[in-house]
Amino acid sequence: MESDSAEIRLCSEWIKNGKFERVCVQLPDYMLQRSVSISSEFERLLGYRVYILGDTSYGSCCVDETAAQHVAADCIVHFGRTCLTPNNHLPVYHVLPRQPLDLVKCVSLISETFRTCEEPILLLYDVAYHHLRDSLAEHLSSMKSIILSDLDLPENKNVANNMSDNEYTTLFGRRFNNLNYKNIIYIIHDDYMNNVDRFILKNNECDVYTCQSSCNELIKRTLTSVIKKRHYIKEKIKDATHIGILICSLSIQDLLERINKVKRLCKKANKKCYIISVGRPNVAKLANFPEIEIFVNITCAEGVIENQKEYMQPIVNIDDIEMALESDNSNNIPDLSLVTNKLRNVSVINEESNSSLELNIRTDMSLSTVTQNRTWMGLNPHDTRPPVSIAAEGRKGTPSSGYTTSDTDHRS
Amino acid sequence: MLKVNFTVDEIRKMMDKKKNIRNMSVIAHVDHGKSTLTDSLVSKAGIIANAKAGDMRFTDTRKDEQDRCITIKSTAISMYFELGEKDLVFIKNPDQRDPEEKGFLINLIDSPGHVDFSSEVTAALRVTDGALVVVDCVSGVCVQTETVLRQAIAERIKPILFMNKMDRALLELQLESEDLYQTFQRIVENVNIIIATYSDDSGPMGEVQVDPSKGSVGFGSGLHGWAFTLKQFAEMYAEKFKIDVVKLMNRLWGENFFNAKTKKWAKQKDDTNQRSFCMYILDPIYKVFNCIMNYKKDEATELLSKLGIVLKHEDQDKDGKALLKVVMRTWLPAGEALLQMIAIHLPSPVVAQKYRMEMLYEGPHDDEAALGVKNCDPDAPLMMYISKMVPTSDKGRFYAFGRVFSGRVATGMKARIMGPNYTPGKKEDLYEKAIQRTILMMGRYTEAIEDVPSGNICGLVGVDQFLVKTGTITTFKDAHNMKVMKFSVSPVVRVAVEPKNPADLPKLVEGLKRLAKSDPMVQCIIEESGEHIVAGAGELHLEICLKDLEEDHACIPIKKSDPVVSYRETVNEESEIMCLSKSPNKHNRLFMKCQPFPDGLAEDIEKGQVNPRDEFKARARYLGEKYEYDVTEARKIWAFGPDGTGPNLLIDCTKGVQYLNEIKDSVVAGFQWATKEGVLAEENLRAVRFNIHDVTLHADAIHRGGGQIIPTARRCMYACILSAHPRIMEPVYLCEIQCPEVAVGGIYSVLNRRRGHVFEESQVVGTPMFVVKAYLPVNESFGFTADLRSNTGGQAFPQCVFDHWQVFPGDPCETGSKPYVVVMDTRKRKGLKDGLPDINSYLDKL
Repeated sequence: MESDSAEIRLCSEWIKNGKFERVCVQLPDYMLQRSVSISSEFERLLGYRVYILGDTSYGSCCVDETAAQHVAADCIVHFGRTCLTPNNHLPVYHVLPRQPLDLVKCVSLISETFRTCEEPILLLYDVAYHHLRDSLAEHLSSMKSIILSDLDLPENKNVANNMSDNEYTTLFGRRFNNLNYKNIIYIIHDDYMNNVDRFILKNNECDVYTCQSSCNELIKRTLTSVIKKRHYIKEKIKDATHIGILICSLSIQDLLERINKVKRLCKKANKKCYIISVGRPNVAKLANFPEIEIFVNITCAEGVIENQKEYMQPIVNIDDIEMALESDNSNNIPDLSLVTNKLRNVSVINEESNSSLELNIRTDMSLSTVTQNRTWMGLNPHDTRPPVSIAAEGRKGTPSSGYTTSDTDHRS
Repeated sequence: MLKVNFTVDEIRKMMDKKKNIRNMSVIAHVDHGKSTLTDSLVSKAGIIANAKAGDMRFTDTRKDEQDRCITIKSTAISMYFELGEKDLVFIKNPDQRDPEEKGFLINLIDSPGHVDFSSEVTAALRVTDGALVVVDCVSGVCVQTETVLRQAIAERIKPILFMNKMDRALLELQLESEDLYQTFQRIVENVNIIIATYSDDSGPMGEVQVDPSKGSVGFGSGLHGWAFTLKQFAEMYAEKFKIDVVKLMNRLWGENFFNAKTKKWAKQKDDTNQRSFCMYILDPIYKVFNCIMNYKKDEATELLSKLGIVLKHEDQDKDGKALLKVVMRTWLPAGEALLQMIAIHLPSPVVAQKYRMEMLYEGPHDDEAALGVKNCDPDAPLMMYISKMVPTSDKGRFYAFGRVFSGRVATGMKARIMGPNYTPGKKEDLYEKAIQRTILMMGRYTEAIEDVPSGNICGLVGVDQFLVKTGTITTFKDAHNMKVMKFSVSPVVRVAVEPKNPADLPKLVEGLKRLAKSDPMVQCIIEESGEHIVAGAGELHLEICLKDLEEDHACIPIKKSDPVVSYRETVNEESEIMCLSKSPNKHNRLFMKCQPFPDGLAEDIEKGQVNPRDEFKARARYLGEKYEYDVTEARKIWAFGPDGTGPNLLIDCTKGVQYLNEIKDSVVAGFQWATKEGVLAEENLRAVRFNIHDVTLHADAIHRGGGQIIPTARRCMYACILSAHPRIMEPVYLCEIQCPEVAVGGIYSVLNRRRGHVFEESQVVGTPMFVVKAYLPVNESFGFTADLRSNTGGQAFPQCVFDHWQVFPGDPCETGSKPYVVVMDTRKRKGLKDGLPDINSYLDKL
């Protein structure tokens, strides 16, 4: 609680400096119960009320700019874990979670293992340990080969700009010197073990070690099984003809570019793609599209979908799509699928291309090709009942007096 | 001497005389001497490749084939043979011979005998019209003889029989002539029994039974190069007896006895007469054998002159076996007898295609393509079936090998290439490309040829990229596919492969794709776990495939896992409870149960006897009659699964449920998913029937969409399985082992250790050999051959062929049981969660 108020004090300094007037405070679900105390603290310090954003439409690690835009906010204060995905418009202040870490034990573990190592070692850490960065740097100052990374926080931007960009690489919200690393150590949060995987996949020639918060041992993490699975995914993507682009975050800087890239790749590979935005995806939502064979998850760096096995279709990320479709040789030779053992039709036969100016129905583009195999086509598309017509005069009379019939006989 | 060095132009001319063409395969059990026999034919009449003729095992073109003395790939060669005037009269059907032409073009395909390569035989049978069935007269009719013969008959391939290895019967077994006759008689009978089971003489093929007295059975020794049919001997004696050759042939077989003193024929054996076959055919042969092998030089010389055998000068000094070979070869040359038998008794394409068309063509039997095939018409639209791919010297490229059934295929012509998934009117699996080159394929030699007319076998260059293994080539726009081949073996043994150097992975993937093309049976797949799997019919098949992969296709060192088998999941009883699952929004409920199939239904579905395209009323009647299914329920089969065709059923047993038709697609999708990935270890499901008993749905269509129903249907089916005593099924081999009596005990002990059980043991009559037939689980079969050999002093040799699926004994849900271990291993390999799935995560409370 005390740390909260300290952070809030720092944060309100930042707000005052920036002369922001409409402030949104975004809270993850588990912090919503503290929203009252947080907002009243802000109100006390700033002198005006702030907006609380909860129930973030996608992951709470992303900054919810869309919600903030509803109140035309000037800035967002983001609480909790963050994926540090660069966003578009608004200034953001991150209040990071704080996790304890046995620094001494951790440093001794690292120095023991890498005492003799001359080559540069990159040290990455989970966002929850950012508050310990300075003391960590101090403890490790004796080991020259260890390069400590920094978080790519917006408030650090100015510092970074002082140095030339060439010296630094930014990857998944981490910033570090451009060096030829052979080893990477990642101090990991026990609940977010998989966060390290994306670094491994990007730096597959490095050895990656993880250190858990208990600091008992450095574990070398290999992703053979993950990488192997990606070979299968790659084949599946090549097999697919219908690809769904699943929007799982709106606050990514290059959202549109990414979507267009997938679209472009699909078009090149002669696949049809559909953009699907259903909020936070779950099994029931995606099972509404049984004809789609692969979903591409357009999301922030930490937006992994849990229990993938429950989903009907594989959900892949944009890297997989690139890997699978970019390498495609498009010289019209069909390729053998290792999943189905069938040939993939790369190009359909060019029917004698109609150069006439007549309008043609392109059956291959319509949605009916997707749903043609369904037996239920919705409410009776070919209504067989007689058409609606204006009421006409019928028979008149009673059984005893007999009937008179108008000209048009309806009795037949 | 015949002219054997033909030019392509001369061959091309022969190809037009379609009545004088014979396309045939040589089929037999392993080690019955096909390739050796083929050699003796090639050396007599092979064309073009004659420079190499005389090589041992001419048709075994690969180095490993030569080294192991086993045929692995089927190989085609062409031969030319002229019938003499007196023999031509034996051909009575005008469609069997061009009246102007004495020569015959014989395209022969030598096929492997080992069961693991049965798919090669299937591919060979498809492009031929006749089959020379070779049987080792010492071992008799074996399991593989039966398998291939059955396949041949099913494809409407006409068989002729050759009893091989007579030299062994005489020299090693020293059989008496009557015993030898009985052996022959029994083999002929056995072969005819097999033929009769699958066809009869009144069928469209006409007479299919083999009959020595008609000349459709040959006898001899491929190794020594001699052979005869009754025709040869009848011709020798015809003059002496003054009887017509045909009549004499009838007298020389069967219950015909001759009294040398009274010169009378009789139908019964008595003291004074002798069986004609023994007297006139076997006795002279025995005499020759006797006097030569016992080094009675003078007697031999006399005998030779009596038989009219004149030896070449350089052969006169030989003695013993060498002399015997020369004498027999000069007296009864194998090529002559066999080629006569082939030309006279095997059908020409003109004759064969008439009755084969309906077996070959999927489309209507009266369209242009069908008529073209039926009439073997070179001027009709092109119809060609590609039965296999043959690697070229150019790495990664293949010749597409097949038979032209109608029209003609020419270099440069534009044709439609249709894969097995093509359906008329759609574009899937269809390419329109020019044929780069048409070639003749003979053994390891190829020769370019301008065009090839119907009834012939040839290779194509440039279409390999558009086909996986097989396909149809046509010029007719509305043509349907030619039927895909049905294999008698299945790829049940699998290994995972990976490159020794991980950086070579792309090469491995490329290599796997090539391997998948080059073998008619092998499957190269990547599993969800990312493992690359090669699946084949047996250990030997896999060994060869992996060797090819390493040396020819990928050209990188590879690591392979131990062989594993794929399993199936099934249930043992009906679900104990009515399973209810609710949709994620809790507004829809599915009530289902599952139960095992009655015996035989799964096989019926796999064979296509019961299939999703059947008319539903007829299918329901069939299921009602054969399996006692309720006919009204059986009419409401919603789906087969997995993949829409598999051996599991989804049946609607509800009564009067509103909106049910709206969710059918969704439930079916869930069913396909659940049958593809079973609940225990994500293996395919087999022989499970799911009954939908009741459904309650939300009144509003938007709340009962696919998203709500598909996952629910899957969960409900998983609950059904878990409540119905789930079981694991494993593939089982039918295993035939031949050995001397002393080794039988060793076989039993090896089989017992491996969960196998013997169901038949019999002595091959007339020999000291025993045949043991057993069922052996495939996953216990690894190393079986070696184990068996070491336990029987190398005397037992097994032939294993996949036979059926069988429930793995034991409960997979019981920790520590064998099937439990299987499930856990599979889950681990696939990277699934540890431990068995819990029924409560699939079952909901009302």
